[in-house]
Amino acid sequence: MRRQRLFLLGLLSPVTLYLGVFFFGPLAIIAVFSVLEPGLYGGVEWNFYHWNYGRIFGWADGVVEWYEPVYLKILFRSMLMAAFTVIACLILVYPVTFWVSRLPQRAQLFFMFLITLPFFTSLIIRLYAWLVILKPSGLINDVLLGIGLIETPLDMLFTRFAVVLGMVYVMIPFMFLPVYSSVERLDRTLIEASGDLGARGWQTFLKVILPQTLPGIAGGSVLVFIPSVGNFIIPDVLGGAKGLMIGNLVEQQFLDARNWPFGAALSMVIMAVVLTVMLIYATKIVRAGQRIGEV
Amino acid sequence: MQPILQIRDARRTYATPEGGTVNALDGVNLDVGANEFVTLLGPSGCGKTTLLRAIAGFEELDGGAIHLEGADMRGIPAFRRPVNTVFQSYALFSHMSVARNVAYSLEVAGVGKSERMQRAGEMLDLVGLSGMGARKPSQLSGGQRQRVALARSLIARPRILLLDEPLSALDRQLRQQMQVELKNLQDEVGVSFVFVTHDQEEALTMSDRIVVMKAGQIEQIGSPREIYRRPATRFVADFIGETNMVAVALTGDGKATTDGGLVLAVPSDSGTGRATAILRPSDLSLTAADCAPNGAIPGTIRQEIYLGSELHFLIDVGGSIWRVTARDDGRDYHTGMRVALTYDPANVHLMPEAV
Amino acid sequence: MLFTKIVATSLTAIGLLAGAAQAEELRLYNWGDYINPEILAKFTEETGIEVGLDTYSSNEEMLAKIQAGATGYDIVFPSIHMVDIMLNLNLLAKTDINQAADWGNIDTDFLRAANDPNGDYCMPYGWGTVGIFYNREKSGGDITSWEEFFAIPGKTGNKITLLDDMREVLGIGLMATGASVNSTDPAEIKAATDWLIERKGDVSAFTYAFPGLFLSGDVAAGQFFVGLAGAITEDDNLQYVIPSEGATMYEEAMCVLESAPNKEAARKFMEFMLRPEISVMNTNQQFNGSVNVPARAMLADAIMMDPNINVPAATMTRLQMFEDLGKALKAYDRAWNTIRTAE
Repeated sequence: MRRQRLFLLGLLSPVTLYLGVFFFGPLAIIAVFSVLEPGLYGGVEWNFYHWNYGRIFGWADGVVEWYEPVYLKILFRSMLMAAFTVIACLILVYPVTFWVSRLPQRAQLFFMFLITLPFFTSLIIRLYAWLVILKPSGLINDVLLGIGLIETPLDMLFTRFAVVLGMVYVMIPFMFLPVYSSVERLDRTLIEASGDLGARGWQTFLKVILPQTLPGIAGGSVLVFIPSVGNFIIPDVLGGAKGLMIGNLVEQQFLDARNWPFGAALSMVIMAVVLTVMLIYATKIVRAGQRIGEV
Repeated sequence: MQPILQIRDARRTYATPEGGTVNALDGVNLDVGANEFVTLLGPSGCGKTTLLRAIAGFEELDGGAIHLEGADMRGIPAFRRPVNTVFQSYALFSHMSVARNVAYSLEVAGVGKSERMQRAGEMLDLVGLSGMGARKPSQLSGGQRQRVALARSLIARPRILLLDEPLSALDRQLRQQMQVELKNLQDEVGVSFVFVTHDQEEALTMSDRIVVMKAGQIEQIGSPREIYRRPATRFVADFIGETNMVAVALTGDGKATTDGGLVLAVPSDSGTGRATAILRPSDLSLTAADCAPNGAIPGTIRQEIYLGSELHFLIDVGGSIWRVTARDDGRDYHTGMRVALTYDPANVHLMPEAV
Repeated sequence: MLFTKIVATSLTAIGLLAGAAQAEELRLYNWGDYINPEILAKFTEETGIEVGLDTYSSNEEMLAKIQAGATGYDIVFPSIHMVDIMLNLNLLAKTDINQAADWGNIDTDFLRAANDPNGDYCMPYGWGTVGIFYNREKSGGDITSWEEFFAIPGKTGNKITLLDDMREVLGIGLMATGASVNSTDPAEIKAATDWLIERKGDVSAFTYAFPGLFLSGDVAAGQFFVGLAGAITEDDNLQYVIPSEGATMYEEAMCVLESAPNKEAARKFMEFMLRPEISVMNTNQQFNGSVNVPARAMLADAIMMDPNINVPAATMTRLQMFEDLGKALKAYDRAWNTIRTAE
């Protein structure tokens, strides 16, 4: 018995070690830092200091620290943008996965290769490439002006449009892969069976195809949502940094404001909120999948 | 009686990946009557599944017509056809409860929830799954899923139920049980069944009529007995059960001579000319060579296969191998033993040599 | 700049790995593109000491790395307020560079660090201004002030950009409302914030990607470092100006780290940089201000003749330098959040 237990422990230890070193360790540091006093030049003073959370949630009284609702507002706005990115990615990706899943095997593999191709280049370089493409004297405007479709250059750079474009562009592969795998696994005879039983196209979509591919949609949504919430590079580069994302706020605490504990506290709040939202989403969607389309 | 389903000169051609074409359906004509159990039987690629899918509306014909209750089905999508299908894989909706699966066709037709659930419950009672409506398909056994698929297809009261090799995933014992149940169910609900299978035993057990198909064409349509006893072609004879076939010349006096010089007794009204004589292994009896009656076929046991209640023999008759099935009567047979085969001449089936 | 940041990080890692193998080597940790590479080659040629160079893009980044224990670097180039911080943190080594033979070349006005008033530790390296680059044609004429700068979009429909930097942007607001860029007075910070929010709608972007967009004509004007002036000497349409309300100036010093593995080579390099002919090589390439008095007489014409680069004494009074704000930094952080979240 004892030996067996030791053996099991041995089997589990790489996982434990990995999680410990790369997940729980850093998380513990962030958690501890978030309740410490900020050092004058960055770093921390080892005194308990709950005002970091007070600044976010409202009990900072204006003597040592100030409460400002703006932090939660920014978090909410970032989550809204992430949700929007999820929906935009889904709308674009969902029909394409059906198309791809009907291609011959080799064409499918080639398509997967194309989808993952952007990962071979640094994100920053790709975003600056978009900047060059979108600017008034950039590629898109050159082409549109050249073929006479427009007379003055379109103003795309540093707009909300550019931000959405950039977010969707960067996140699409994360949506595509899980959705594709669930669409590819979708049993075609289920669609035939539904039709056979009298369902029209839209009924089959709503009652069979959508619920059957929901796990992929849920997985893709989570994979897109989480990095989208914390992303600030895309709004900075393509949006001109005019709006503040929650990620900016954290970065700023470490690089400009030299307030590591507040940055850590913000990170903890983001993590807690995102985790909660994702848990609710995941359980809801599983249940919704069983009832979806039922009247 | 007006048939419920009429198929006239149905044609369907597929392109092959190599650039050629395959005639999946090559001029098929078939009528199915009300309350009839018709089986489409043939090896894979014979067009039986294509025909079923064409009836269901999953495939369009390239030529010919399908009429259901007199109405031309050309251009009518699957969801509008008064037929339902039981798929080989059952195609149950894994995200729905058993009851919702069964009531699916009512749900999409806009029937109210309480009525749907009541009728689903009745259907589940009918197929022997009372009280299992709340379960998920994944919580059921293979045989139970099969019944759910049946209940789901029958709840909308289709004129014809199409079954695409529905028993092939079940183990032998369960399959035999389901064969009987299916037949009983069909009698009970009064719906015509069109059943696709490649299993001749299944076809013989359940069908009112069997349609034997080969390469997109119908070889023979007939009752199980007709198909078994009086196969129209060598293909049918071969496909349905084991058989002994031998080319003969009919002499017109109830006798036929094989090319090897063997003389067989045949039904006396057989006429003259070349023919193929067919004798089922079970119609042959084995006796010891020394007490063989007149007209018995002499041979040597090449191989003996013991199957419990039955014995299978391969007998060398003048250089060709004949199959014989006999009950185990306790007599001692062994390889190399000289024997004689006896038979009732009425059981010798003759068909034109060419086919 | 973000890009530089990432490149810098990876170079640091590679550099640290490679550094161990070399025998006689000097390792510099400097801002990106902030030293003329010919100087490094010349130093190696003269002394046989190999020079390694890693880069960073902000004082905070450099400090964080050094504090986190990045070792192997000999010389760093902190801004003045960071010199004070690093001295407080005991990160810098005493060099007595003010005893060097050529120390007299240094303009002692640039010994600004409060903790090192005599140059016992660090040596002034270079300085520059952050002003307005503008495209005459697209800006509707010459620009002389921040007020005119912010009016460009309204007048011409063209774009203007600011740096994506908390203190530089708030600095504009403070200078435009007549306050110090180091003000800790809440009312002054509030006034500067309001002044900026009022004009935020006219700002296309807070970005470091200004140079490319400016040179291609996609942006009419922007706030940027004087060094970019080196790229626009040929085009009379593109101009650099120190606005009438004032501009910020930055100054960096060369300092030897307490943890420097090769303090002797570091000292040699500082003495090397004291020579006017070496110092001027840097200024001519960087297009910034010189701290070396004899070197100023040798400057290239394009720098010498431009009062916005070779700043006369009268203009110097309009320049302000960032100081460390200590705890008051929080007020700036909040103001910056307010500006960036303003619709």
